[in-house]
Amino acid sequence: MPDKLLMYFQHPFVRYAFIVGVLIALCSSLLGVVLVLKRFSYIGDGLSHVAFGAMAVAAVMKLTNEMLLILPVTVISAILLLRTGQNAKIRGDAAIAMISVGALAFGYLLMNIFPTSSNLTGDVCSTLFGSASILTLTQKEVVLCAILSVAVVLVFILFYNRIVAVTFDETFAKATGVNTQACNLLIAAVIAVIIVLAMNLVGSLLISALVIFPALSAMRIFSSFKSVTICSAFLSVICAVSGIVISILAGTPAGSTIVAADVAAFGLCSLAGLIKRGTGR
Amino acid sequence: MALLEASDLSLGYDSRYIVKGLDFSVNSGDFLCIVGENGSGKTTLMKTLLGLIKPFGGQILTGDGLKKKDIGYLPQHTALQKDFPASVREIVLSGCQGRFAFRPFYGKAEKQLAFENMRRMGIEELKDSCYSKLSGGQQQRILLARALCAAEKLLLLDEPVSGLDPKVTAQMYELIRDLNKEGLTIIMISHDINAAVRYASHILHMGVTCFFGTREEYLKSDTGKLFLMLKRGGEACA
Amino acid sequence: MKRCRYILVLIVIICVTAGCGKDKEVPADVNPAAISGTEEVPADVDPAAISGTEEVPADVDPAAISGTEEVPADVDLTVLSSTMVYAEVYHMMVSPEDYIGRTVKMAGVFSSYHDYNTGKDYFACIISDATACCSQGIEFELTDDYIYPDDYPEEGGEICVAGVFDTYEDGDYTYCILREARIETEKGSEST
Repeated sequence: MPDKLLMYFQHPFVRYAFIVGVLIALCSSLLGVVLVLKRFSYIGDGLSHVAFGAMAVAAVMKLTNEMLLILPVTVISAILLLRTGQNAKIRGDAAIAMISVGALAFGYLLMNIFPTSSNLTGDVCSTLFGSASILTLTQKEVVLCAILSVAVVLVFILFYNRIVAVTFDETFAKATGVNTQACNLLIAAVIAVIIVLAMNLVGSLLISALVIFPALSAMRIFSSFKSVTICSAFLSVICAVSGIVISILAGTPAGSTIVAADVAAFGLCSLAGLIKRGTGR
Repeated sequence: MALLEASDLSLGYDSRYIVKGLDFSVNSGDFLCIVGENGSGKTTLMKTLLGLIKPFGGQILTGDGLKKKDIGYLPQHTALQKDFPASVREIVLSGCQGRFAFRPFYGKAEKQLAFENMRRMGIEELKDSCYSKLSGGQQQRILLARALCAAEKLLLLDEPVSGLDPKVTAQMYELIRDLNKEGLTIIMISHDINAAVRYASHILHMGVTCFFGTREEYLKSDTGKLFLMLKRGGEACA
Repeated sequence: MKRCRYILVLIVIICVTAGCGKDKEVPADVNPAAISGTEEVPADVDPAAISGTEEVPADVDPAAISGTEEVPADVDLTVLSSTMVYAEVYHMMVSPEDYIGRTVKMAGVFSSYHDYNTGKDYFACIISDATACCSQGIEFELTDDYIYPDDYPEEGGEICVAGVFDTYEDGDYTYCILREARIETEKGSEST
């Protein structure tokens, strides 16, 4: 098996897949902890559908660099969705449902009316499920992804304490002088960037899993914010790497394999947590 | 110039007025207790003082260079998830967050302050424990330690002893009184009128008729006497 | 207590990475019914567009020789898993200049198309990705040893074909093609 892996590694697109996979898994797990604790777990799904709709529009408009449209649209949607959390006429979960399903339907409709390639079902399927999209990246995409991921990780580290304070008790933070509105906007923008990047790894429909599972797995075992974040990042990267390796060797779709690895890790962590509680810690 | 002064303040929510024309002031070193029946707007007033809610009318003036970052706050209920993963130390440290705008990491001074406040609350042994697994009294003391980290000049407490047993309640009140003696200005909402008249220097009574004055003035006023009679009479009958 | 937790995390990691030990090598096992049938078939072939690099390179990838076939290939897709095959073919389409002149061997489903305007026949080898919802194909041009339709495979049948990778222009599009191709089916019924 190691020889086979080495042979595969001769291909540049396999190396790209691993680089991008690790970076995306790292970023999404960090923000995953924040999302899960703010009770916005489903936002990954909602935003990815919006990104899908934006991508359809970009393809129809024949934009050479689709990111120019997808990123701003997703960031704006993220800001709108996360702001309606606290006090809005339309509650958070209804807003997510409306926007996400609407965007998905609209995107698919557009792609049918203005088909951009002969294989429509294939393109849609590949975008939704990410069967081999991680292995079909060009060097430019890898560079863009690397830059954005490093930026996200830096932002997270620099604003870590602020993010913890706002996630734990937003009212207290606001009352004692923290600019919670700016912090929430920042979190929204970062989440949007990660969602757009993660579409390449696991496809639109499975992004939620990449964001939620590592955080939930880590919370089964650890109970301080810092250790949960670190463990979540660790687990996410391990599962992404295993998922890609298994999918390359066994010929399974990459996206689903990564999510399956995440689910397996969650199961094991839950078991570990039960054992730990059982031994009376 | 008073530390905090409310002038002709009108409060409410969802376009419903609760209080109109409220006037009171708080000087540095005061211990103001806000009392009144349920629904009289005590928590709404506190949230308005903190800037979380906008008043319907009137204004709140601050003096002595009081800024948001000098204020500590102990809320009545923290809408926290059951299994929020946070150690006690992380929570108490988060009280320091309002202090600095651009520094990303807590310095030695903040960590020292947090440890000092944990020691004052008697919870320094719990610093690595998980918050959600502790008892109500311990959690309340942790949140008070956090509020202390944020409070340099003024501390606002919303029903700090609700849900605590009598012994812990007494300890909490002693703690708050000591803080006030050390020079911290306190504004406290309390259902317990006895504790209020025992510890406070000033009383603000909210309800159908509002009263603001020193403790002695309150005990002599009609509002005060009526309220005390109702409360104490109620206790005697219970 | 902290150490216990780290040990637990390590155990989780070991269990998850143990899955990497699977060595299920699935050669392109394609379900013909899943083909969406949208291979890019050119309407016309311009002979002047054929580039001249048709020599078979001397260096051969030893790990790619399976042992039963005769022609050693530089890019042997038959030993890769289906996910890798799909990715490799995608890259052939996207950056064909990296592959021109190299011998490519692939296994897939035979598909033919007869253009009634020009009277020409086109042949391609189609592969699907892992979820079988997307297909790609490469056209191939067999050597003169083969005569259509007798020596050619059945429509929809599984074939293994090896040829020299090349591209040609037709209208606005660039198409990929395997020239001097030979058929080496695993079923062993139609090789020369």
